[in-house]
Amino acid sequence: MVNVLSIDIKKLVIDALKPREISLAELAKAICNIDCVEDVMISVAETDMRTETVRMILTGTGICYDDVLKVLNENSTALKSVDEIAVSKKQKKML
Amino acid sequence: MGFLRRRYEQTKTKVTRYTKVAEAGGLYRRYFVMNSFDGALAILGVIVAAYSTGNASARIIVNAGVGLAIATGISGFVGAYLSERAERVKKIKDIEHSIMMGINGSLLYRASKFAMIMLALVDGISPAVAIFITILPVIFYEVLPSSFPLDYAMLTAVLINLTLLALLGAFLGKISQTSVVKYGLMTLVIGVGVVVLLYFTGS
Repeated sequence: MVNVLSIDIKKLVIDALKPREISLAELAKAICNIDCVEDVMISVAETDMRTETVRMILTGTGICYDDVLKVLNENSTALKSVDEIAVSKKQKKML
Repeated sequence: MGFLRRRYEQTKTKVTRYTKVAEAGGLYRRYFVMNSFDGALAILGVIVAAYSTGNASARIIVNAGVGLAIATGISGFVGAYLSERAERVKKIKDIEHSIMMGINGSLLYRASKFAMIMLALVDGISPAVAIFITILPVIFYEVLPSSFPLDYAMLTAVLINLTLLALLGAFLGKISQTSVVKYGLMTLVIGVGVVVLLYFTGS
């Protein structure tokens, strides 16, 4: 029996810049479609002529950061900063 | 069957999503009406001008119609593709500049490329369809010359054309959520005006 540590991301708060053509609903659905993301909350922080600065709060168990980046790129959304992150450590017993 | 149905649903969802992201829904309608109207009036001109000579031939009308459909089709496709491409490339560059990130291969980029092709197709095909529908009676006469006189075929073609123009007008009325009848009558009057003008100038 071996004890394996896994560190999972439980919460991510992201500041991002998206074109106005991409709707909030589409973006939120696309992010929520990522495995292990359970809740997505997006709010518009600033509106420009072509873009919107959005604040996203993602919660789940074991959120894959790379998958989140991939979905943001797919939706022409640039990551500005990660403002908050919550992780937890879990011990798993494996044979 | 299940596979085909799934494939159809996937394609439908993709087309709807691309159209929404590229904001092309209104443009499809605009291009369709504008170019169908162009094609319909052009072939109406050919038929009435041929009739007013008093020496019309079905072969000439059909050949002129096919030539017109091909020429307007190519002109519509190339013109719309090039102008849409220029506009959308500029828009993508502006967005890239605004978000300080390349968006090649993203949803927005793919949707823009899809919209360019689809708008060019709508622009190219719509006048050709209007022309083909109008000359159907003349084609029918060309295939079966003994069934009815050429004058009847031409008159039917003109009536079909005027109906098409009225339907295009009604479609515009429906889009603008105003009077379908008013818009329909407006395009019909334009068609009748063209018929009268060409008939008297021709004869």
